[in-house]
Amino acid sequence: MRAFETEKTEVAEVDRSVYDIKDKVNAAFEVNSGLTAEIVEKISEEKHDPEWMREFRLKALDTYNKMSIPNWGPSLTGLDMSNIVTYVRPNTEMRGKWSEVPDDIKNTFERLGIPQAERSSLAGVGAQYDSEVVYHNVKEEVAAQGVVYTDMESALTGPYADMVKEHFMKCVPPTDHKFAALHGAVWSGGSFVYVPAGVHVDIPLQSYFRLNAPGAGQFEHTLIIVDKGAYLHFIEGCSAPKYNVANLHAGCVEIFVGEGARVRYSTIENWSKNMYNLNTKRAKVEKGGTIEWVSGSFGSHTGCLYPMSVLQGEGARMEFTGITFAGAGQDLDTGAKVVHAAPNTTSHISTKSIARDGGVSNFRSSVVVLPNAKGSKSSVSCESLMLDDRSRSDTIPAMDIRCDAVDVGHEAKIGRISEEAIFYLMSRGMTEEDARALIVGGFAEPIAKELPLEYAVEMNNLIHLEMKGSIG
Amino acid sequence: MNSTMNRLPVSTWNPLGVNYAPASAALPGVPAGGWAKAAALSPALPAGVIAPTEADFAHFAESGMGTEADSWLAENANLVNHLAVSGTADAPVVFETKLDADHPHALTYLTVDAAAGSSLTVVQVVRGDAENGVSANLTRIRAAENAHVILVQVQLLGNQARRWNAVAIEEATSARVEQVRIELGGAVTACGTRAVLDHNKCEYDLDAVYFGSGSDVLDFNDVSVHTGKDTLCEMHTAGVLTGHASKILRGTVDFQRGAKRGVGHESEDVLLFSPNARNRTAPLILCGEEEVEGQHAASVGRLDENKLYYLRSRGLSEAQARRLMVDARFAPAIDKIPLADLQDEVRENVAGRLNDELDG
Repeated sequence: MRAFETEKTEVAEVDRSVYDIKDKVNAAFEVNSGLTAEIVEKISEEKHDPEWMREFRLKALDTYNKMSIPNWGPSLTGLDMSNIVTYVRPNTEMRGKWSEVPDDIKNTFERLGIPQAERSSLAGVGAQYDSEVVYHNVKEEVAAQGVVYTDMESALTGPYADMVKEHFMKCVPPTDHKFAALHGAVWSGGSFVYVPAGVHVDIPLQSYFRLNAPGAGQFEHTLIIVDKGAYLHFIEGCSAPKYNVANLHAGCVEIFVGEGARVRYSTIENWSKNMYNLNTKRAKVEKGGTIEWVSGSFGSHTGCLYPMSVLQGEGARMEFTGITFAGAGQDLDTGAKVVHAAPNTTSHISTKSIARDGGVSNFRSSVVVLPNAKGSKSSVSCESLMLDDRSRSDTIPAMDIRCDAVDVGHEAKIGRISEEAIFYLMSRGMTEEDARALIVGGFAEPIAKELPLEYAVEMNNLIHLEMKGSIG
Repeated sequence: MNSTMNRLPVSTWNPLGVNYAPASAALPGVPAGGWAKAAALSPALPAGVIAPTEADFAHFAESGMGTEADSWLAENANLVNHLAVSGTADAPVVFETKLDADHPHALTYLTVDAAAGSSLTVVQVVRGDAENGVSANLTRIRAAENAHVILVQVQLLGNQARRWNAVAIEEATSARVEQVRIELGGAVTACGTRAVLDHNKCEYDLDAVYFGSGSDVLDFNDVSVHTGKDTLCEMHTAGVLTGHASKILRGTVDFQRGAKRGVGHESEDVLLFSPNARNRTAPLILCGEEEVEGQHAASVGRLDENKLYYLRSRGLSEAQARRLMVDARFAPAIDKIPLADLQDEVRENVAGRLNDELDG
């Protein structure tokens, strides 16, 4: 047997075959690549925006042009906006029945298991293909409770138009950062959810985003308003086939958590490895409300994802549970942000990150406690696991505490798989490969148990797949 | 120059204001009449220590404050000392400077060249106060194989003076440098240490304490760069913030590729005694090597109410209990001061400051 010190962990690529099947691009309409006022006007015209939205888009474009690329975080030099097509409309209208969705698109979602999941475990499903939602449906009994789950375009002009206008990009203003401004200018698709006061949506809603066109961007907007005392679990999934040109995802999720309400937002991000995933997610939480983020980041070439929670009501709570798994060619910069803006608020951030095969998996966080947030508590815990010495894993947390009556804690750990643990497991009859897989699985387990069951199973499979043949 | 000073090795969100020193901590302008002469006592040199007139530190690693600040500090120094040690120095070398109205500026530049197997303790003490007073320091330490250098820095300035303190460390195989940094006064305090552990089995330890009150600005940037194998760093800081004091502490353990079996631990314990004080902490662990162990822990807030209650139930007043808790946090650094009188002076200074806060 070779000495452990000389062993190298060579991790195989993930089997992405189901995600990588490309459909023939059959767009009904697409704008030219690049970003100009004419393109933004054209998108607005194609989408039959109300006038306020047209003006909003142009103002956001102006903001985009004035803002700089962030001077921190992963390199975005491979992203050239002049090559990105910001709007690609698939060759279909939005449907309320799977049977009416065109076969090629339907088959893609069938392979991803979306209709099956809808039948077995979801209260409603939205499916977006490139820039537009192609399918949206919510179970009758859920709709009967007054729950609204529809595409953003319908919401923008339907009975909830005023509510949309009141909340749209109020949580994430276009001035927040350059890619929020970009989103404001060219957003398309996404979902609108409204859960009335006191309604408990027992099974989750899910939106699935699929980007098929090479060199395209996806800019869906998800707006969720959960009224007083209500509960919602929303699941977001995303994937794309791999191309050799850069694709861009700059979506935006805004969640308004009402007094005493609770929202769980779960994401499994499995974009292809040519994707720049520059997504923005934010929740505002009122008195006694709770936001729970569960986030798994596996795909993308470059990712910047830091769901943010603004705890603006007394006693509001947030929990963030995340795992990031970065492999060859990936630079994933993930984490969370929280602002304690009211007394007795609580936040807990717990993350695990794994880097292997030359990948970069960085954790970044920000905890801000404002002067009025007396009695607040915050804890941050991040653990990183390096599987070889070609990879990189940086931990970059920051705290800004402006109130004395607080309890703020932070813990970070970085390390490798313990050789003693491997030795012990091997002495019990396991192969080294299985021992390593078991240890990585155990490392990820606290996160996996927070995921919806089918995703937890998928993640465990993924880890075992990754660790197979990992001893070189 | 503040944007190049005390830079976080990896930048993060700009609105947090932690990527570099705030403008209020920028290096001072040179007075129209130049820097006044510094008031300093000449240190006694124990056997084995000499003070050469020149030392070659031209191509030396940067301090935690950055190369521009280092150059400025070296060029503007009005008090330059070089130490070279071989063998074991049986007593510390003590540098004392004092600011007053006639000597408001002390800009010191010290180099320490510790030969293989040598051992030396250097104590730097700065006291006094002056309107527009400036206490600036650049210390460069070169520790050869198996050398052991202890640098104890005690700053007891009043609340008018401003303070800059840069330390740069290079270590050879199995060398060890310990730094004790006690920063208790000054309207502005900016410090940055960077230790380069690029040889096997070398070690850097930092025990630091600070006390910010009034509208003090405190800005720290401590970095331990590991490229050698079996390197170790222990960086531990405790601080008290009262009044409207504002503090930023950046602490970075940087494991570069090849730093196998490197170990780095850093911690910060911040006591907030005022609702108006502001504490910012950015503890980084950068890792390009799998076979390492890195840990960071931070705790920010008021004194634990349960502990306070226990101590009060034993007959201590609230003020006494608070003093006890601060003493406990500051003790690891203060206990390392090798001079009993100086230890007492530091404890009295801390007690006096606490009295001002708790009783006044």
